[in-house]
Amino acid sequence: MTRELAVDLRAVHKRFGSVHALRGAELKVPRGSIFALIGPNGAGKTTLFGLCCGFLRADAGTVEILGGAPDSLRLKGRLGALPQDAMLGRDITIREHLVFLARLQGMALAQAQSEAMRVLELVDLAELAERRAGALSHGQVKRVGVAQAFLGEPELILLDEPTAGLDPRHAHDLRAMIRGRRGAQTIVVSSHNLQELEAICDEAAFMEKGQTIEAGAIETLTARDAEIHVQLAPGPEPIELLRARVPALALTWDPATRTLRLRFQPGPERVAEDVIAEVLRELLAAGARISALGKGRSLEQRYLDQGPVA
Amino acid sequence: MQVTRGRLLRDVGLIAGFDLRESLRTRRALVLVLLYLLIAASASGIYVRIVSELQEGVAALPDVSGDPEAAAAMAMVQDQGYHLVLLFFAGGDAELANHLATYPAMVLIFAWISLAFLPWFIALTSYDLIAGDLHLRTIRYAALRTSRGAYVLGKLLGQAALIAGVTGLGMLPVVVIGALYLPGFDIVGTLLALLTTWPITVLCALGFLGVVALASQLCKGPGAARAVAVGLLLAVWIFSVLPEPMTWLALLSPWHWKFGLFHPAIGQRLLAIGACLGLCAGYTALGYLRFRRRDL
Repeated sequence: MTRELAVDLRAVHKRFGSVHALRGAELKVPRGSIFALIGPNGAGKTTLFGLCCGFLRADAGTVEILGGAPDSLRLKGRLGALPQDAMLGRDITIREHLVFLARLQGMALAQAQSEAMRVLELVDLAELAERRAGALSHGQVKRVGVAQAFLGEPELILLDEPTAGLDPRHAHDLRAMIRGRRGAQTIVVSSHNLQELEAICDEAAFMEKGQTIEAGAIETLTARDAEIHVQLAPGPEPIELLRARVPALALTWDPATRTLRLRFQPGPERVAEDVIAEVLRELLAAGARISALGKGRSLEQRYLDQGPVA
Repeated sequence: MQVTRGRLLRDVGLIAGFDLRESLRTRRALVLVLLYLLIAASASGIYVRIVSELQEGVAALPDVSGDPEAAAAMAMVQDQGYHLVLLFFAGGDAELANHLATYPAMVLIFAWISLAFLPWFIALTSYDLIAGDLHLRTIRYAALRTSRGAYVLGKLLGQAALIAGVTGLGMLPVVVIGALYLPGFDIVGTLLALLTTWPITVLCALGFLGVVALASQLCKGPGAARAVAVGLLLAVWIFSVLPEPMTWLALLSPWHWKFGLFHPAIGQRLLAIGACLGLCAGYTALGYLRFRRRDL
């Protein structure tokens, strides 16, 4: 079954002078998903966002956004984005900024005014609506940027590091807001906070050196259905016993962190919960003391395991 | 097609309004207003000074009031002198010089001085029309929602409105200084004459604004845009004074057309209006060729 795509980038290249920022990047974002774009600084994430928004022109390859070229008039009101490092006019109030942008999306004045206040409430800035953008803190400016991306509830929203510079409470609220839109809107988020992405996203793509090196569902990337890990408290270490009793599991033991990692082939007969029950039974019977237990590996671990691209 | 055009015009209006509001809240408008008021006040002051000097000179002359022939001869000499000055400024066009003679001299001096300074004011205040937004990436918020063409047109219109407002305000010191310092000053006549020169000043300014808009679209940094704007204005000024066989280059210079805007012949005036609007559109479009393809 082919899934309808909100973003479809094929073999995209982009150069800035001698810098080859994107080298045949591929990206397929299904409609309705919350999608994470992961990669180190300079991997090409912001360039990729810029291409999707039409700020940048690809040197080669195909960029399709919501079924067509990234043309601002076609995408008017359908695409929202938080561009990285974009500034607001210092002497205009944030409400005026948002009303202006909402009107540019095609809204009538009254609708634009109420929409501006709605999105300001989303980011907890309604009280500062009449404050000049130049008088806001860095975090508040970032929240205004997030707010304008949600004006008119566009079909697709691209958020380039939305929680960078936010205090923990507002970062948490923003994550909750994004999570709450699953299925209703397509949201692509780039961030260096992989725990955050893991918590809110359905799918992810890893980028490095201008290429997409791997993409898929978070469940698959983190092997949640094919791997468990158990941390043992100081005491018995029945590793060899477990290896002998449950031979179908590929077992690795890290004595430094006292973590057992067990990989298996998932299927109808063998789901992660059954494996957990079996492993715990054997470990407890052997007198081991369990201090932690989890499915799969974190997105961060998965990312670090990949190693650098040559 | 009509929907697209309607949407484009709506966007242009929204951007122009926002740009104008932003300009009014920043130092940009204040600087332009202060500079322009300074020029208007200086022009008026110069005129008042000239009139005072002349009056003192006339007072020092032998009294000819009892001799109608001598008085008529003196008046004729004065008129001829003034007419020669106008003829010089009209580039030898007697018809234009005669028409200029119908304006109050104070208005002509103000118009002349303001037209001399206005291009440089525009370069100093509008250079970052596009380049400033590119530099701060502010443009990205609008670029998501409208076309680049609408953005440029809106910004251009916003700046044009600002210039129109500032040049309109510039008329005030002329009237105030004239009323305060010139005995028998004709307030209504001067005001009416100023109102007829106002659209001329704005139209001429549009030609210069086009040159500045070209510079602002060519550069990504405001500093570079300012330097290029001043450089391009210098270039088009040089175009206006080149000798044969390059006089045709003057057609590309708003300076060449400014006196045509005063011309009594409607054909000449329409030609100059068309040229100033065309130069504004042409230079802006030239910049747009670069801007439409550039990375934001």
